[in-house]
Amino acid sequence: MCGPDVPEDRTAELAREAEEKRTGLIDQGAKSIDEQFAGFNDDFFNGARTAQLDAHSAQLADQYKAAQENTIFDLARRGQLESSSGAERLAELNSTHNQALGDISLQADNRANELRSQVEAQKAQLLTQNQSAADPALAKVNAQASAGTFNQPQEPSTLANVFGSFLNSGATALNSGKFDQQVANIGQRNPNQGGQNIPSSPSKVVS
Amino acid sequence: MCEPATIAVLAGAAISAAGTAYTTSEQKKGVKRQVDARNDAAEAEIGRQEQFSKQAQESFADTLDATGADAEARRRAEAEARRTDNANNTISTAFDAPLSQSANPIVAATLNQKIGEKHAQTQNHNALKARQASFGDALFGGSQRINTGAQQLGLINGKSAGSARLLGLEQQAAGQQRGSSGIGDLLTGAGQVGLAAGTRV
Repeated sequence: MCGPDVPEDRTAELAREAEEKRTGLIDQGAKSIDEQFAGFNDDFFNGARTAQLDAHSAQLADQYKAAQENTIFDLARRGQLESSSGAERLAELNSTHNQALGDISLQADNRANELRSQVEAQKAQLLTQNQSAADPALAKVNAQASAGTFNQPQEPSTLANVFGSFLNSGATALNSGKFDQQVANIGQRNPNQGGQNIPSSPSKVVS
Repeated sequence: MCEPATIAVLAGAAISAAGTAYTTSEQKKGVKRQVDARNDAAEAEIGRQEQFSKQAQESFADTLDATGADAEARRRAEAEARRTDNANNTISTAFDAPLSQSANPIVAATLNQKIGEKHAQTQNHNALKARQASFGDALFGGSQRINTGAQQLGLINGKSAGSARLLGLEQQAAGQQRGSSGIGDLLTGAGQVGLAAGTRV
């Protein structure tokens, strides 16, 4: 009745208000993160896929051109360009090219998945941080910085040499020609080359 | 009987009794108010927790829908078809054959036939590779959904835990509510003064 009034204890009320404010800030931060990452949609990942596909296809086209020229030249030199074995070789070249195109497509799909995974991991990390910090401004800055790293130009990957066996075919053919010559020489004595008379059947050595 | 002292004693006793009764009544009301306040706080928190629980259940159900066997199978089939189409759309049977006009037509036919055979082989390889990769795609898609669901659940759980932590504080505050207005004490005191005065006379 007398004396100073005892102030009302509003601890619980204030704590409830603070908690509601905290969750509101977390929601706001999560929204900011979503907005910053909104650009990483199917179009973005399809774009990344197409970019890798185009880059590798161009490299493959160059490789194919060189391999085709080399193979045609090689076949023509051996007089096999218009033969069945030449047709087989050219079809093999075409098949290698097509297989490489298919592989490039699959690798581009994988690259898109890899990027998607990286983006999701970054976003998840930011959302976790946001829950602890409950600071939408900080969440926005971090999300901008994080999202920015994915939009920076990346070092294009180089396609491995696909047509190695066709590019080396010249050397192989030369070796093959020598071998054919050696085979032709087998069984006949050629004194000018110092060849040996190789018997058609193994000699029987009796001791 | 009607002497002032007697009247003072009787009135004092009556006032004191009334004061005690008032105080008791107020104490009961106070206890009831505290219990009601505690119950209200608990009910409000239960209501909030039910909302969080409902949100969590909905989120989890979405995750289950997106990662169930049917969804995984559908996702895998879509990935296989997409990868096969992507790979096969890049390849072609077109081939600029370096054959002369006078080339034996059998050679040209052989070349076309072999290119066609190898094209079919490549298409088949692409389909097989696409099928192989599609399992990874399906799992990847599923794990993405699970991660998104986990993030959502984490957010809901954080809110739920934050809210639940306050219940103790709110119940403590409910227990600190004043139970007495002091009127009963005043009446009791006044009655005792009357009694003392009557007794002294």
